[in-house]
Amino acid sequence: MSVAPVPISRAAAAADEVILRTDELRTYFKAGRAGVVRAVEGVNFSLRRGKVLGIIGESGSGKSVTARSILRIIEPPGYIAGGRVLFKGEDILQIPEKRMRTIRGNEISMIFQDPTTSLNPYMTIGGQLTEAYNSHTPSGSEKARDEAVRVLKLVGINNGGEIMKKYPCQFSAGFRQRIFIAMSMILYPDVLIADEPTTSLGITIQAEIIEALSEVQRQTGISIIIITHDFGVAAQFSDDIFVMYAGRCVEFSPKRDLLTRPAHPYTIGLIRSVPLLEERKTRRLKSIPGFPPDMSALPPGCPFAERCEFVGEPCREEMPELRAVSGAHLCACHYPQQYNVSEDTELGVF
Amino acid sequence: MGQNPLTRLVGKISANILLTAGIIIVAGCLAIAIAAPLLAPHDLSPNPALRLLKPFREASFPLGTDAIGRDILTRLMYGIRTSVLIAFSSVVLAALIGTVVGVLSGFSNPGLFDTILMRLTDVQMGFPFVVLAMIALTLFNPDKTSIAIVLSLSLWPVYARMVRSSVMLQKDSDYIAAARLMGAGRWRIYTRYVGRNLLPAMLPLFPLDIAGMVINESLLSYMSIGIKPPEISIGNIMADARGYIASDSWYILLPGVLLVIMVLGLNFIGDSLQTLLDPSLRQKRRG
Amino acid sequence: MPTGENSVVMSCENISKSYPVRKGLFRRVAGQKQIVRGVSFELERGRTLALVGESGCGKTVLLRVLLGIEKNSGGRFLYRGRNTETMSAAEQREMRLKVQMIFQDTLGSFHPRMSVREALEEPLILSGVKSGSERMATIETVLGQVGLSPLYLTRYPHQLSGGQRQRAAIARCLAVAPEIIFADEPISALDVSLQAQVVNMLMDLQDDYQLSILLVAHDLAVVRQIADTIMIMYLGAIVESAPAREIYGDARHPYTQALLQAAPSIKKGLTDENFTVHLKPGDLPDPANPPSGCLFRTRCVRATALCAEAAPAPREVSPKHVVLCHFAQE
Repeated sequence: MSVAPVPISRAAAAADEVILRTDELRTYFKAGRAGVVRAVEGVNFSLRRGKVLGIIGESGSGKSVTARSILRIIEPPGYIAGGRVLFKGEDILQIPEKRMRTIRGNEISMIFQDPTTSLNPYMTIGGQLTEAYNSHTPSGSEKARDEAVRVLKLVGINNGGEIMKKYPCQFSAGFRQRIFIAMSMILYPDVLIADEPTTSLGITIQAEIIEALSEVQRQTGISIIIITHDFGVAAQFSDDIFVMYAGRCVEFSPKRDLLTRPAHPYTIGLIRSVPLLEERKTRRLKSIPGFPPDMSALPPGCPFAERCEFVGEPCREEMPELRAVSGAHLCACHYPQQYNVSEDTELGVF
Repeated sequence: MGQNPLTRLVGKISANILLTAGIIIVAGCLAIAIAAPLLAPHDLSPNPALRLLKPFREASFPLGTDAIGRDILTRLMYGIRTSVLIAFSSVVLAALIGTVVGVLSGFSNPGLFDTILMRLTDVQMGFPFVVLAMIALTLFNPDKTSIAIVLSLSLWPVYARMVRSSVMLQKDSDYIAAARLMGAGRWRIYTRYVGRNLLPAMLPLFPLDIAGMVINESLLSYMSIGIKPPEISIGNIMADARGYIASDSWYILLPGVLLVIMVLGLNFIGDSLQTLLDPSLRQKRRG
Repeated sequence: MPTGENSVVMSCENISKSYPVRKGLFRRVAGQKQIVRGVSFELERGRTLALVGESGCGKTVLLRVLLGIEKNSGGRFLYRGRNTETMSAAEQREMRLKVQMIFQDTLGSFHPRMSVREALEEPLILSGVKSGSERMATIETVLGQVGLSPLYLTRYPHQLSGGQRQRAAIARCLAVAPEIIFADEPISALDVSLQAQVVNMLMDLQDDYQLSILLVAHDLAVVRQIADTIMIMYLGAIVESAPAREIYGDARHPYTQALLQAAPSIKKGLTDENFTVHLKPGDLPDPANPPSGCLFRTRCVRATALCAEAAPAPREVSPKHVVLCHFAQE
């Protein structure tokens, strides 16, 4: 596949340059008269240029809210309560809304979970793609059309000219998600945030979509944040993994460290409880006892304390900070564990 | 949680000013409707000596008298009695017909029976109400019963459609499937599962529709095709006042204002019930 | 574990289901849309049979047919060796109670205006338990089995979390002491940390009561953990059916192979294996207008001219391992 020149300068940039970083990001939701749900509380992670960051969390863990906070598209009663989002070194929580609008889509774009509702059903694919192009760089329909065809090719759609005359409802959900990826790539942003892009799709379609995202990444050098609840997806697609629980940081590390030597009891619990494709585990899965906490009534201290087998005195009083356990491997736990996946006899396949 | 459900309900109601106002108005009207013969300060015989007394002048005729000297307060009380009775029974009748048609239609969908029933409701909905009323009330003696039936004829298709769509939505739902797997028979599914969702869906409509029927009944009586004297309804009090709009405008304003207050009270209740009875809305308000 | 012929609790032979396609003003029947094509299987006592397929493959319709919610267009069911169509009404009623279902959408499977207690009492009332205290005792027992506190009895379904609701749903099934449980994606709506709890609970219950489970799922990793036998479904047909071990070790059908390849896994992540799909690009064919010959050939990377001409016959490549492919032996 040949794709016409892409602003490739970024590919040559320094290897470990951080393009996007959050610093103590906090997003709250007003609830009732005086209540506040701390959906995101002090989240820190960084996205390296040209890499894929996987954010893993269960429902209600605040992973989607984090993504939306980065783009400042939180709707009331939610609001960003504090912290910084540093994009290319600049705190984009502080810039005026007008400038933020030029960043959205142009420099940071986002794709969503449900491809059936993210495209306008009454507008042709071509119309939507060219509009997305012209909204930021008005340069006539001819140029926009060429760009649209090119970007469709990027996601593996070769008959772009034909496709563009049609309407979204004429395509399957998986194909629409591809089109949406193309649309979000049309201005060659620096960062693409994919919020559960494959959750509502089947296995083979999920693989096709992620394959398309990898291809886009390989060709343009874009940095990607993928939000998922599926450990397998994050493990296969990301370079770094960030684990969230109840709106808090749990663990942040390059993929290999996190998968082989997870330090946080929650991460360890997740890895041990995930059923494996390669092996039938012993008769029972290791499960994490209990339920996730009620976000509107979080106890002080570590939100995982209730379910944690290593819980100690400070856990119920003080929220642990994200600290280095080794190199770039950070963990927010008072008792980081020395656990090695390859020594766990029940997970023999690693 | 944990509280007595009654206390919780009372708490919720008092937190809602509109609902409280609505309940006070409607309760007042109901009390008058039921006890009009006891509460009325005068009887209904004409008294030519006291023609067209203005309101708020004499303590014994607080709302004045009409063209042949009858106490207007007394007449309005009896008027409320008629209006409430007719409007309420027509809505109940319409809801009954609508539920039967809607349930039968919803469960037989897709099918010929459903198609026939739905075309029937279409015809009914498309037929202008006033024309229907004029024809029916010329053919039959316009008394309380016939007027209630005519009014309900205009309303039942709305209930039929609502019930039908609710039934159709529910019959494919997983909880109905689950009930069938547990061995629940057809009758039990109708009453215990489907029916349980119908009443809460209909209840908020009742006050709104009763308000609509109060107005429609007054309209018919005002047009002199509804309740005939000596029976009294708010509509024919207004009809009596037609000749005095220029000279004694208060005469027609009194029943008019009463009508507006009754309708507002009913609408307040209807709107509040909608939010109170829907568990998902309730959840949203709390969360 | 009991094995052999007499341990089969339920079997179906050549079940199919099609819907008429209607066209024109008078809704004339213009064709048939075949959603389920000749599915046969046997469900053994105390064993788990998994049905795996992607959305649109017809697995939900098959379940609805098996449950009697929809009528089958062909084939027959046997419950304990008896044909369900020739059963008496009383026998059918008895069978119904022995077959229970866990739904994917737990919220939708509870009546929104029934409290958990009412919902759990319902199957007991229907199975004829007259005394209230007896019903309450059973409810407390099943709640204990699924690990749900009796405090939740006064709650309404929307007030429970997904994990709690799924427990309540399983408790409701258990209340009538079923023999067979149909589980339609029972954990795919749950959070990862709760999936393992529910999987373990199902396996414990299976051991304790010798339950037979028909599991409908798309997640091959979960299926590997639970299933004894696996059927892979594509466009209404079972394209491969085999003991679990052979599906993962020796998949013969190209669709099964593609599914395994596309499934995400932590281990693949550690070996830096990228996502790959061994399928021809394109969509699932329209069931009303299926491809000639082999149903799968429009997406198959190995398809030849033969595949367009002749539909493959099921081949038994090893005991109980049946494949619907011309090239199954290679």
